[in-house]
Amino acid sequence: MSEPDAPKSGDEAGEMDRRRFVKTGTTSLAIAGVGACVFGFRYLSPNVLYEPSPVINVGKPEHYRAGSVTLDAKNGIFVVREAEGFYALSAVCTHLGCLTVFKAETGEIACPCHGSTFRRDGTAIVGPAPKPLPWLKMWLADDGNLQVDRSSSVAARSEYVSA
Amino acid sequence: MNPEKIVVTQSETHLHSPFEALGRWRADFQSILSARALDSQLGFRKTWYLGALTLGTFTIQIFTGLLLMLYYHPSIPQGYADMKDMEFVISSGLLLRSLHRWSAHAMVFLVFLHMAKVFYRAAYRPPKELNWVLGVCLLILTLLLSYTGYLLPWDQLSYWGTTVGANIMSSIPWLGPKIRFYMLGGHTVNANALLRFYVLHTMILPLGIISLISIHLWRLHKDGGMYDVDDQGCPLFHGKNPQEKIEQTVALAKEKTISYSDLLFREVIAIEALAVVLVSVALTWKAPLEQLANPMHTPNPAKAPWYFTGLQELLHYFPPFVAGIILPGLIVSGLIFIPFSPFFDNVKTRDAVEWFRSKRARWFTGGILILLVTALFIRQHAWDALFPFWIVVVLTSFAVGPAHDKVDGLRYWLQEKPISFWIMTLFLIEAVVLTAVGTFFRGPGWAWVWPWSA
Repeated sequence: MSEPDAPKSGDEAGEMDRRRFVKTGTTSLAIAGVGACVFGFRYLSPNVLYEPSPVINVGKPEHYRAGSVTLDAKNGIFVVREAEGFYALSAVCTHLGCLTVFKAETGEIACPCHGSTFRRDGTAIVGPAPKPLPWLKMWLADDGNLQVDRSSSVAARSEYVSA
Repeated sequence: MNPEKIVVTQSETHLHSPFEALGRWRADFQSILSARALDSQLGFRKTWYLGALTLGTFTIQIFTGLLLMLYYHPSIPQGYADMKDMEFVISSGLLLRSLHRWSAHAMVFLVFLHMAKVFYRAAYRPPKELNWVLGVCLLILTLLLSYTGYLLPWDQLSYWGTTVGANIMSSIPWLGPKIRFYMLGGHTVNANALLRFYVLHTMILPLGIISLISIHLWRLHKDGGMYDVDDQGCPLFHGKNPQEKIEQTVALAKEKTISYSDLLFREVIAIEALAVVLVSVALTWKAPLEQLANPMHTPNPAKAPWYFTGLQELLHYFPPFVAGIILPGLIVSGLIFIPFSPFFDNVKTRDAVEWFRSKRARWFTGGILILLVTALFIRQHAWDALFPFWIVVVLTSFAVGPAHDKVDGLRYWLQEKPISFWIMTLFLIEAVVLTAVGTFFRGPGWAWVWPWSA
């Protein structure tokens, strides 16, 4: 700090005057704050997740009757067997994520939360659901089991898996 | 600085005895509540002591919550097992949990009631506008506390309520899925989500709400006590000019007795009465606990607690982004905006009507607005949301009808109201009707059921 009776500017004295001190201090604090925010934000996003794999095994094709819609509740999908072959449908309602169920008596898929209903090919009939239930990628593995990748969807009615 | 110019006051900070300090502290504490409370302000009728009662429920939440934390583990499925222990094993555990639950419901209810009372008594007007904004923030924090607390028991409703809430967030365009991921700490409602909600519910949100309550009470003191409208409905301390305010204050203080200790006494009695009621409720009805959260089965109907069934009803009619983000956002900004809008808050209904040059223009503009809203609601089949709108339309039409001779009639009273009165009334009737429909008239598949046939 400079003498009270002979004030010198900071540059002259080779020291920092108050204005520069405040400026430098504020700037470094701001930089540190932004840095803390960036790292804090990244900290909040987990890098490893202990969640189940999106690829699942739904068993042998012969387990499914012709014309059946089977809910695999554990994995949140429907396995549908039509004359053309198999396809897998997400059972998670496109509205707000409730698990839908297949009503055999009406032949429709219904969501219990906000009342959306879907046809067995996933198209929405009534209710607030904004999109049809997506078709999921499905294939027949070498061991004869049907596999579904829940993380990738395919165009509706584009591919049927024949067994 | 020249040292000679600094006058060092010999302050009276030196303590002579602990009792003196206690006495001063007591005086300060009393003045926090309401230094300038007048006799006329102390009656139950004026405020229903709603602010104090809300604070009372929050205090119960702090104490019961701290005690619940001694046994609760935020992990899956231990959290649910702890709920069962709380009910069957731990001494007084069920009472504590039930009290925590019902007191939370009471707090949400009282916050809404407090807000409505403050609004209709015009106690949000300057100089109290900052306190109104703080109040809106406290409303949001209260709802967030309810929502985060809801996940912790890890039962079916916890799981599916959180799933729906998280998906509402992910309906925000572009940023939505990212927000959902940060909120849950993963892609699904799981262990990370439970832990995050636990930290929010027990640390971050309570710290936030305690800070805001402190500022809210401090502002109450600064803005001249708890109730601000005189017998004629004119706000006391209305002037924004501080000098004017001080003069009013001095004049009033000379005129009437200051009796804050009476107020404190009455409010404490009111809080105690509420505590007795809540404990009785908690002893009679236990807090609901559904089955262990099961991601493989959504209960039908999956119903939110009553304070969110209005929102759930909207979600049934409108896309999630509209019902869950846009509409609540509009409501919150509308509430915050009320005291700052010269248009909505200062123009009386009778004067607003005069803007239209002719009667025909008035009915034409009003008609188009009414038709548009009605058409939108009918298109969405939202009959129950249409009903409150029409109540307000009928009331407004009655108010702006031909001038009335009687000065204290209902029509005159309605004409005197600012435009914000109509907006707030619409919001409150909508909230009550949608909440009632969602709570009592919705069954499996969110289909309409009569409560007596269920």
